[in-house]
Amino acid sequence: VTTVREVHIRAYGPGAVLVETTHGDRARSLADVLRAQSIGASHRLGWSSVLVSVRDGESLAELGDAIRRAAASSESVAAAAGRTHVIPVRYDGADLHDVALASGCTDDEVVSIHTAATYTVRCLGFTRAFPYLSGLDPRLHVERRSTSRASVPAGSVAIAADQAGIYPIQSPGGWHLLGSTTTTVFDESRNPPGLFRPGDLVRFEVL
Amino acid sequence: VTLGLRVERAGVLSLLQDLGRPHGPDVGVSVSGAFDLRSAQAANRLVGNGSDAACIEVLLGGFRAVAISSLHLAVTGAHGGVSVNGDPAHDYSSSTGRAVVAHLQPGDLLAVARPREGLRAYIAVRGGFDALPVLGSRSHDTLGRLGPPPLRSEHIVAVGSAFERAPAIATQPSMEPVRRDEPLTLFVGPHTNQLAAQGDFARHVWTVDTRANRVGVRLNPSADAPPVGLPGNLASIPVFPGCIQLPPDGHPIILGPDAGTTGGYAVIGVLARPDLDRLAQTRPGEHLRFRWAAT
Repeated sequence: VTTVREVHIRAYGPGAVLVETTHGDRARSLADVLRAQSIGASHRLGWSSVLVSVRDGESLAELGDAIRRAAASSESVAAAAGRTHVIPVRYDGADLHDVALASGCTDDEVVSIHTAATYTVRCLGFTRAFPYLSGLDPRLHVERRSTSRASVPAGSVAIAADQAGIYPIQSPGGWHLLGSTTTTVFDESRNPPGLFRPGDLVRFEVL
Repeated sequence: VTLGLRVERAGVLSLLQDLGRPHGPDVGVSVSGAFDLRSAQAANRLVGNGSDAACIEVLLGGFRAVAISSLHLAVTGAHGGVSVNGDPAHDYSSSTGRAVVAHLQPGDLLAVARPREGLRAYIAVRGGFDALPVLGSRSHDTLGRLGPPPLRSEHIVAVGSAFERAPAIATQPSMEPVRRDEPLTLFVGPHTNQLAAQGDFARHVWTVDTRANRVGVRLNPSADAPPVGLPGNLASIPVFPGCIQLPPDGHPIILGPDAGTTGGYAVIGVLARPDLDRLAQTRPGEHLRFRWAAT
């Protein structure tokens, strides 16, 4: 149960607003509230924000007012519970040792810290439903690489700053690679194609 | 396949594109679809297709294909370079329509060569080009590598039955050439207020960088305006085609149809759809100006 009262509403192009919340899980609660009250035409989550588009004939100011009223009157909202996924990982990533050095611990300690946490899917994005996960232990908070790799293999399990994630396909990327999984996180023949949805819980285990 | 085209040369990049996946971003998938949607729609109208029919988006010409059946085609978008069996399309008037219509017989050669103006030509065929849809669309996503793959030589592009969804009656939108000297209209974005001087962004002339593709179009500031960036590494926010990101290096990036659905750079403005159509036809080295929308 989290409160969603505190929001910042910013114009975002001719037909939408960005609603920023003080905490990411509140963004998901707020999106649930707005959907339930039919405020806005569509709702899309960022790390700690919601993109809300206007309904036909509605102004950005009217939409902003409606969001403010909904946020103020929803004292507490239980975010919908998601599914739990356990992802087997081979911890042989190219940056495992660098992360250990930056964190002042051993490679094995990085693995045990990474597998001890339960992560929450904050939002999906980038390409092919990349899952942005919150819940990374602060001991492993390492800023993203100063230069991105041109190619990160599909299934790479990675971290950057306070985020964790899994690369759904081979793509460029600037996160630190801890290991890899063979779990299919995106299947274009499914709808939705991504394995994860916002609010789902994720744990990693050593393969 | 009994109806369609056999590709002889695919050129730089020729892709099937339709209306894209407008609900894709809800599940973490790019919108994709024709970059110059107005031209793609006009081409479909000319051949009597529904608006969801797939066209071939040809980047900078170099495309040649042979009809394997009788085909009714239209080519719109980038101007010039269209021929059938070597005969160029006759310009009735330089000031009016830039759309070309062609009626091919089996064995006829359609060529879309390097255009005189613009970047992307759209070929529509009566019935629409057919391929296996992915997540509800026949568009190729160059970032996520979803949808029908880029065309290659010897590839046979089949024709579907998209005319079944054409409106019984409709007006053909005018295809007046775009006013290239007109500024693009900027709408306020979530980080517009972080620009030191909002007026400056609109006062400068920007040049399209060679790093310009369907994911994004990078701009270079003019010589008299040193690049001024904004801090990156923001909490990722939802982004969409038309968003203008300003990374720390001061080179703005206008997001195209294949852009990822989230981004960590400041979004200092947003272009509306008609200006994206124009951006799709703007070549590297060409200049762009902006003006802020009236609020």
